[in-house]
Amino acid sequence: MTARTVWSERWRGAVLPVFVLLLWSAATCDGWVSTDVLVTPWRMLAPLGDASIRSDLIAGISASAVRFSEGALLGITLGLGLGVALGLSRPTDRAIGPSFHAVRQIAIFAWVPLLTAWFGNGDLGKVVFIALGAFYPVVMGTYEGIRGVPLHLREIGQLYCFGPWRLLRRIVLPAAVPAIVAALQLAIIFSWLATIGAEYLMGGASRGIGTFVMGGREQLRTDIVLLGVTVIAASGFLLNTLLRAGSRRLLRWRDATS
Amino acid sequence: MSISIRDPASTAPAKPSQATEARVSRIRFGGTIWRASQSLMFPLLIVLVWSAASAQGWVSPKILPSPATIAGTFWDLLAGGDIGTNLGISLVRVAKGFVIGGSLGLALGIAMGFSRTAEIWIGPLFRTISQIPSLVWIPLLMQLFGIDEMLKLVIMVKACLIPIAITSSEGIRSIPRHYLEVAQVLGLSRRARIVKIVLPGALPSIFSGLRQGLSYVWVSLVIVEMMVSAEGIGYLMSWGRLLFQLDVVIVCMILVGVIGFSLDFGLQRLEARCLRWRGAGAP
Repeated sequence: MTARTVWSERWRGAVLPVFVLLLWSAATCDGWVSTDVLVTPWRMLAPLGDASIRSDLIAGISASAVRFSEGALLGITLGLGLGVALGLSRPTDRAIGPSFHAVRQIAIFAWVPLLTAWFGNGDLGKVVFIALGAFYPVVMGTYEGIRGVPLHLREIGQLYCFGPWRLLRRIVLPAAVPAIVAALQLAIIFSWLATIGAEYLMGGASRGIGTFVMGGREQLRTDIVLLGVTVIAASGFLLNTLLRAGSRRLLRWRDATS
Repeated sequence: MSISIRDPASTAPAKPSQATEARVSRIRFGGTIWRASQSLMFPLLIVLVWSAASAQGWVSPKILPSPATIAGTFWDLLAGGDIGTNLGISLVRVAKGFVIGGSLGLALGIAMGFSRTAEIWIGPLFRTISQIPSLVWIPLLMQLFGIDEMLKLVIMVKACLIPIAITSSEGIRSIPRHYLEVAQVLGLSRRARIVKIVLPGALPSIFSGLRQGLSYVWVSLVIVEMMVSAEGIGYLMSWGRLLFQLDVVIVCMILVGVIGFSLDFGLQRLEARCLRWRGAGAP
């Protein structure tokens, strides 16, 4: 395929979004819909002119980022622990595995009311909820990764008389790394989603980008809602892109050897 | 040289494929009675400690209602019709959302899978939108559609349309070229090619999209019902939280899990039935 056709295909892919934007602008400029319902795309930049809204937005973004990191870190640490335990020890897997899979059927968002009752709707409740979001994929990925280590690799370790610790460090963990990296990637995306969900659903006094959006909604400021949602969507794109680049880098050794 | 085999269980299976099968079957169904009893020990222990904790007053029953209270509440809510009414409303919503979103998603996915033109024109926008989960859009959609039935429908349709369209278009596009070449050699008509080769070949991907879509529909409905609704299982849950009746909250959580699992299980059975022709010989 020549560069020219690639370019023209890209151009066609852009037609629909541009058309939607035009329709949207027309609908709002010509007053087909009320500005309470929808504002012109560029109007979402207007709240940035207001210093207090701007500082709210910036404080919200940083508060959400801190909460996201705390929750993700907590969930990933606990998840790695349980995942390794379930993956390495069959008795543990038999005892806890089925209960874990049963509880996992409850969508994480259904935990929100109970968690707010236990931990309040402030930072603590949100961080616990975010950790829960990160926890499940890490447990699953680590477990599958360790269980999926090919038998012949373990046998090599036994042949060299590796003790349990060396077997784990030299053979089991390196072989499980690709699955664990994929799980971490998923866990980070889930924590991001849980951060936004926690702020939408729990409300509370603590700041956050999601709280910023819900605040705008309560004041019927569609421009603030649109601005906030756009920022959230952009952060999601950014995170996806970073994760993809990061996991490619981390797993480069695998392509080099195989 | 002595080879010490630390953990006989982990080295016992002769072939990795057997080990995998055993693992899968254990995760899903438990296997033998001994294994089942091993799996039951842990939850039983939890329930015992939990009951003891409430009986001895280690934790306030308001914070952690005892299992017996929860069972009693479940019975009361069931007998009083609260569960029936709210669950019924939620399930009707799910059915509407899934049927509309699923058929739109299938139509779009089939269009994008078959026609390169459709893929070029709408594919990029589609994949861009699909990167952002439905949850993020909820406040904006609330501004657009109000907080009534329409909002729930739009969110559910959006939640399942995207995975279904993407997986079905990928399923159609990933059909091995030589299958289509055989069809050409046999001189099959376009219609026969689609019905006999493309659709059966894409069915596994379509089903995985449908299952993902249905679970998204269920989760997003529960979220919206918790945020803005006056009925439905999500509403019952946030109502219980508002009155600080955590027994109601926990009953609803269990219901959310059971329904989510059953919906997926139903589709899984349907998939097994539809794909029975693949049999044991298929990869």
